[in-house]
Amino acid sequence: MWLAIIAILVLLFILLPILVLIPLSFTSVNYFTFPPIGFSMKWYQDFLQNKEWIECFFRSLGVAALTAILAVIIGTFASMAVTRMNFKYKKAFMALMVAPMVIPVVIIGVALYNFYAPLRLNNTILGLVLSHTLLAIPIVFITLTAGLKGVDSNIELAAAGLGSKPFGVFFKIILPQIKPSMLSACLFAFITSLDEITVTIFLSGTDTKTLPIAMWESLRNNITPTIAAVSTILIFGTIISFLLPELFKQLFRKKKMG
Amino acid sequence: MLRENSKVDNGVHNKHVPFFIRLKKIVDPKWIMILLPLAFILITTFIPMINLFKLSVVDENGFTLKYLTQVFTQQIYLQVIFLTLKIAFLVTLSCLVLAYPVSYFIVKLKSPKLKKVILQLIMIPFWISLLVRTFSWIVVLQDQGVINSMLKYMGIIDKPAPLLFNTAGVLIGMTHVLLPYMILNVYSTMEGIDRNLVQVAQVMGAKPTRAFWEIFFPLSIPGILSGSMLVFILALGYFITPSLLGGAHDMTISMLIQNNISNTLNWSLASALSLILFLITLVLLGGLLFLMRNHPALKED
Amino acid sequence: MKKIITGILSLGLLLNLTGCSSSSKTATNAPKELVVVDWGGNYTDVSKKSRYEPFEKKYNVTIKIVSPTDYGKFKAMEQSGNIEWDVVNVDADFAIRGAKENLFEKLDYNIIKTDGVDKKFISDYGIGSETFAVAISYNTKTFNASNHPKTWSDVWDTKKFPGARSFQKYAEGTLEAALLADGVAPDKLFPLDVDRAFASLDKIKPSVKSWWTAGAQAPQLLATGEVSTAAAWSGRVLAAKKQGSPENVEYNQALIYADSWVIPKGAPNKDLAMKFINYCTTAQTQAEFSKLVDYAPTNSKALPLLSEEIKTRLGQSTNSAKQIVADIQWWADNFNSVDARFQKWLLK
Repeated sequence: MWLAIIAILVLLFILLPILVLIPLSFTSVNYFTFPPIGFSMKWYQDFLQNKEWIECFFRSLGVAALTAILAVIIGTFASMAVTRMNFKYKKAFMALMVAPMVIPVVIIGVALYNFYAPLRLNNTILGLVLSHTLLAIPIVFITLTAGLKGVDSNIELAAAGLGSKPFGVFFKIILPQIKPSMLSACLFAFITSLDEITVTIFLSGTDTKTLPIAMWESLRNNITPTIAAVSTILIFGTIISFLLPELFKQLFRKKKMG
Repeated sequence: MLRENSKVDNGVHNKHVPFFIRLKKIVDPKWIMILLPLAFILITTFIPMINLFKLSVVDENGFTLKYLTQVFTQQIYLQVIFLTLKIAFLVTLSCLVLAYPVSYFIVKLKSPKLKKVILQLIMIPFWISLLVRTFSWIVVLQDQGVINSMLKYMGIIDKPAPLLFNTAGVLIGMTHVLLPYMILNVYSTMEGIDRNLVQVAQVMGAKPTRAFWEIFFPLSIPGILSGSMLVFILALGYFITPSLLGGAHDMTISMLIQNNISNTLNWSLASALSLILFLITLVLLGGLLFLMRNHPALKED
Repeated sequence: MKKIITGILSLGLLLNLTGCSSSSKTATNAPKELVVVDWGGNYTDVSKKSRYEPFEKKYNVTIKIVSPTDYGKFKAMEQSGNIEWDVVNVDADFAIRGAKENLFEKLDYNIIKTDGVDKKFISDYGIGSETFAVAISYNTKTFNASNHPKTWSDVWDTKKFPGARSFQKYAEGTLEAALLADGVAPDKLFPLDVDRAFASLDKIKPSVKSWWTAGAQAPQLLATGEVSTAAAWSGRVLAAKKQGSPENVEYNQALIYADSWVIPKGAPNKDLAMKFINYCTTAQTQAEFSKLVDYAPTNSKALPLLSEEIKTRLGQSTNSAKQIVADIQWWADNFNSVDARFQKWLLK
């Protein structure tokens, strides 16, 4: 009983900023005060009509997609190596794969900034994708390793014994079984890139402004509830993307039965 | 398992196997699975970091130890390091205190659907930019903010409670950001604990509380340790949240590093500070690995 | 099915991204490009109307705007040899500090005409673009037009004018305010008595709720009443006021600083950059700029072009309260040591 109460309070704590943010995006004044004064859609208008905000929005989505793809590829290789191969220094390898997550972000940001400068990788999409990927790899690696460990490798041996080539084994046997882990890993990598601010502050420039950077600049230059509007759109986009697969499942189920 | 034999019969080192076949083994696609990620991480992470740390002992005038000595001897830097560790510790503690009951609650839920929903709810803040989450806290914690208005309305206080632009604000903001990490870690460990063990203990006569403390809790410790270490290390690296929510006193190493990179342009000092931060992280990790040396996750199968 | 959709989507995004980056580079017959770096937000909007667009038309050039000015990036660019910026708007003291670090090109005063510009704003490597004031700002719900802090001593008087304070987390401006509050005469302000300034700051420190770092923070703090009084950039506070925020500026004892134009060493379009700076220094352009935002011109010949109303708003009319121009050279010489002491003082 008490447990439920505590749990609900903690959940409320977690969701509080969101609950505050959404009404705030409809405020009619240009500063942040709660409860919001008046009702207005002008901050949404501000965002949707602002070419720069929209550009940043899609750029962020693009970088996040590329990051997710690259991180999952590299992460899968690493997880497969760790769970299906025997080699020396495996523990060191695993530590290296997880390293970017435990090195303080600011160090990574500064180090990359310094490193990219002579390589002219600053202010490029490539630079951003590479840096976001390295930040996403640890969590992809951890997720996929956990997922792969749960898969019985005897089935793969059986398939290989029956004549299936390695790629076939991977795509037809392993992949279907780790789908949930794969999906989670993809999602985590996507979020990591979408939300990345610390390293991106150092590495981005005019041509490569991402959405978090646009918000950061807005907070420094001209704080308006537009950022609340943008965030609300992101939240609802997220919730919808969570719900869509569920909806599809329901639809398919009905089709099959009916 | 078939694979284990390859340890003994590694075709590359076996002299009886012809050279070309040995070569094929080295460039065997399987090794790419190791080399590619390894190369990626080394090139994108470690080389830049080594470059950065070089700066801490080299400036325009050549090799010098003055920045490192500065960091270790001047009181202001020691103060900042201490404050950073203190904040990270307090954040970790509050995350743990909040995460444990919630994780336990989720684990005990009967409906898997409900479990999924709650876990997804917990993940939603991840989708909002760190900046905006931090900024929302300003709105909530400020003098005319949500919390103070509510407390005033309920008659609990007359003057607004100072929850912002001080350490309290930093703690609240950072706990909020890092809580999901702790919950996920603790929950996944808890989920793996065999509940039959607790049931058996109760069948044998132990009261529920005793069964919990003597069976369940010890088994959940690996989750507590890994979650705490993760949160602690992440807390060391944040600078945006403390700079937006904190007061003059709340200066963390990361803020100082960022300031030296962007304002005072003293990159050698920034590098020296980064080196210190990195060493602290390594020490902590070493400690964790030592404590968890018997944990199954670290064992190879 | 899901895989196919995600595959198509990601391909589409990929193409979009690569398309974006390549299209901006295949502009061979396009007019020349000049990269200008400024502070962003309202500053950029106003500059676009009064400076950038007229310049683009006159010289058939496209101006690319980068914001905000980032000193760290400036240095990184110079170190890597990959100079992407042509003209940068910086704090006046950075114009001198940066010169010491060899970051700028020397300005060609044959191209840049300076008649009318106060000598204080001209140096070998930088020229003042506009002045801004660090002024006493207050929340109009707490204080009104007749009863509000009018001097820095008033700001230090927390009994007569209660409420929290906010200052910039920056020694420049804060130390001067502290000395004026302590009774130092404006014309005897520089060179700053640093010890006395810190002693004076000790008195107000308990009341300072927030040390702001970004220009937009102060107006937000004042609007909600989180602080009742602040030392803030007048332009920001007045812009917020225009949009309806309950706050206002008191120009008396405001401290005047200038922003400066500098050219990074090795800038790709150096000559065009000089022409640009010249254009922005003319009385006409400066007047247009000051009409749109509450920053005063550095070229005194621009003042007659402004209406009395605007001049009052800028604090430049003869009836205006006394403002004090800061000694940039002193700050350039002493910034590093004073800033180090200031950072330590904050942590006490």
